[in-house]
Amino acid sequence: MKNIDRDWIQYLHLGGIFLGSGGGGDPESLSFFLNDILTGDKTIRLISLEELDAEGYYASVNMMGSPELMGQYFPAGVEGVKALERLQALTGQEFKGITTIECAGVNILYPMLVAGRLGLPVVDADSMGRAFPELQMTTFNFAQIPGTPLTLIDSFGREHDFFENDNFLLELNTRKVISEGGGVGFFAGFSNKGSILKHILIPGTISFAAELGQVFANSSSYSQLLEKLIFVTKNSIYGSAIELFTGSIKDIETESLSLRTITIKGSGSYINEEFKILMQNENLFAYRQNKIAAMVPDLISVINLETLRPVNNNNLLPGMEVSVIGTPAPLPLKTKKNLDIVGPQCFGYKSGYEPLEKLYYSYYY
Amino acid sequence: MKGNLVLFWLEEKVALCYGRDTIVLAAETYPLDYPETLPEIINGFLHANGISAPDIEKILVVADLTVLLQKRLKEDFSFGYFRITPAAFEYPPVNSLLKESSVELHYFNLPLPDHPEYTLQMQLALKSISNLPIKHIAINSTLSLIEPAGEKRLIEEGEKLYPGRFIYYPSYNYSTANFLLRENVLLINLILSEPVELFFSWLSNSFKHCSVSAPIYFLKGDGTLTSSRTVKINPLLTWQSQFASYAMGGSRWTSEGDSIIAAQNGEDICLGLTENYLPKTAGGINSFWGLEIPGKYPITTRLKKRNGHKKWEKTLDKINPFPGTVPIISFVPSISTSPVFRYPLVTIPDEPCVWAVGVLTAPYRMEIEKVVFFSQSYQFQVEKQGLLDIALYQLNREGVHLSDISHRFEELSLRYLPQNAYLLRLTISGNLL
Repeated sequence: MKNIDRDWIQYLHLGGIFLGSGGGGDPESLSFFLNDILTGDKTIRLISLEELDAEGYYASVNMMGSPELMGQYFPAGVEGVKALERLQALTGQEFKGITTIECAGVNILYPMLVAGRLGLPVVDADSMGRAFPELQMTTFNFAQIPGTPLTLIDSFGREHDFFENDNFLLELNTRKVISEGGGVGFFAGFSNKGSILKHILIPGTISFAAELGQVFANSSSYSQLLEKLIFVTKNSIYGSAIELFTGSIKDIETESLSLRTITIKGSGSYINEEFKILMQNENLFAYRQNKIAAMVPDLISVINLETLRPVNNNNLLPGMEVSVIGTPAPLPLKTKKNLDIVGPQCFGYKSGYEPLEKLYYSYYY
Repeated sequence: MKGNLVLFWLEEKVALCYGRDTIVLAAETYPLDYPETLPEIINGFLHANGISAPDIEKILVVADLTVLLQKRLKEDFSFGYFRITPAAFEYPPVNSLLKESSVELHYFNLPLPDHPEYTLQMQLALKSISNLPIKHIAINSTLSLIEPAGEKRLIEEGEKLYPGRFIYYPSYNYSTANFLLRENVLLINLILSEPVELFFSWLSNSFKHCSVSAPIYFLKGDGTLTSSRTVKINPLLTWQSQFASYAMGGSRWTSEGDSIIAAQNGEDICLGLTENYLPKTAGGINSFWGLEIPGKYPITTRLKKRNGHKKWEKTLDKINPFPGTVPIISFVPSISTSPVFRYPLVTIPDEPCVWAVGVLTAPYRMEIEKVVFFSQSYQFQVEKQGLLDIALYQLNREGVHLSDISHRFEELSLRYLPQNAYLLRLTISGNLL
């Protein structure tokens, strides 16, 4: 067991942005309330999968909807508490702890807010290993376990219950409620026994995010940062991070209503080259000189070279000097069966998945 | 000859210029020891230059109204602030602004309007605030952009319980999506409200006294003009407008659209940029008195006069966003040769006739934002048209008539929503008729 104190907030914030692969939202505004909750010696317990009570129930409490509107809504954790209490009433279970479905962006800090308010522990694991845009893109769905019963509180504080057995349908229906309810929602669901979660969740992802965050918080130069990133990722369930490109952002274009492209003009050893990142909610595909350089579910993260901090897509600006880092996704996301749920074809890409390890064979082997 | 009057308010002095397009026909600077002498100054200027009041088509004012904060923060002034959020939090608002000031802020946390305790807590807060020497109340709700009814309900309730007792400042007047940024803008503007009100009445009475009835427009920090009504609500927009006038004036005077501007700032030198004759602005978040504020304000950096060649070169190379070198347009008389040979130096007089050239050619610009949801492309077009109609209606209501009108939509996609959702920002620009 570890204890999350105030020092962790910044680390989780930075690590969460990196694991967001451009998406997942910027959790900065959540840290205000978390700072309030973790005053003095107060901490939140972070328990590993091995420590779960096999017969005890644990539920995920998360945010969904637009991270851009979240800055306006200013979530405090009380919405999640309300959702969890409603789920408890619906299921008759008393929850032993809180899990997150996504160890990235806003959803790395939001469960902490709820756990802090309720005095419950948070489980050091998640079901995505990064940020994904939809509820069915989880290891729960890989194991064909439904996320229901699920309770959702919309921006106006209205309560909604869901009982769908199909996670795709659940995604469709919850998302519809959210868009009619102010664009941001808070849910409690995916409740399961500890014995099941031990087999389903990706272990250690919260503490891994904190480790990544420490790298960003404590590096004074890009070369030092890259060296530490490679070291930390190499010793994880992910895989060694690799520098894909460095340069300055030339343009951010809207390709269609939902797709945008970032074009980066190379610098240093990439001079006279061009790099493109195709993004929807997260960074999905990267192309160097029009050849594929990385693709989902591998992580494509952008670092601001001036601040040496990871950057969320909506904070990218033309002229910004950046480095693009690729990180192999954890293994559960890359099996043939699971790629049908989180692979490139789920985002409209026609060809099959090409892992970073194959694209940069000599670097990895 | 018909023309426009440009007034530069520099606290202890005032500069008046008259001209049109890029031609300045008259310019004069006057000490302003006593504010009540302004009508006399205006009359004197008009008389000395043979300008008759009816010939003045527009009055363009360059006044950084945020300088009024300095004095305001030393006054005994209290105001109230209601934060309507899902849960109370104790982050002190505008702390860096108030920590060494005499201004007292009483803030109250209220839950969202659907909360069963909302009405009771609101009434208790209003009651306790009514016992304090407070007249001004700011209200900021997390839902202000989506559902401003919560703020309106508080104002209605306040009026019902304490009719005419308070002046309310709702946050939905500021289309800033982020709650904390909106809080900063709202509270800075509230603190400025009374001195700004006095400034406006001083200005309009002075012109009235001189029989000048032309509409008054203000220069914003981004180098564009806006209406008096907008500045009254959001005086923060005038921050750095003085530097913007320097930048535009210098750029127009020398016909160098892209340039580096050097201006005197106390003992320091302030460097900024122009791009296509307008000040180059920072797009994202700006730091104002240690507070983060959104908006477009000139990119500036400071240098000490005694800084050597290397520091100058490093700074110039860092701020220069253009592919090659551009000229340094300097208002600083002590810089007689270029500090860095690669950057040619153009020295120009630090005079109102130069600043006014930029102001006379400044475009009018307004921006509005809206969150839109849609599932079909045509609905997006309908939303855009709707926003454009609103903007044109607002311009019309404010009596603003533009030539060469152009508009631009910026689309910030709101992700993770089933339909397409965007924060639409519409910018309308044109030249004042």
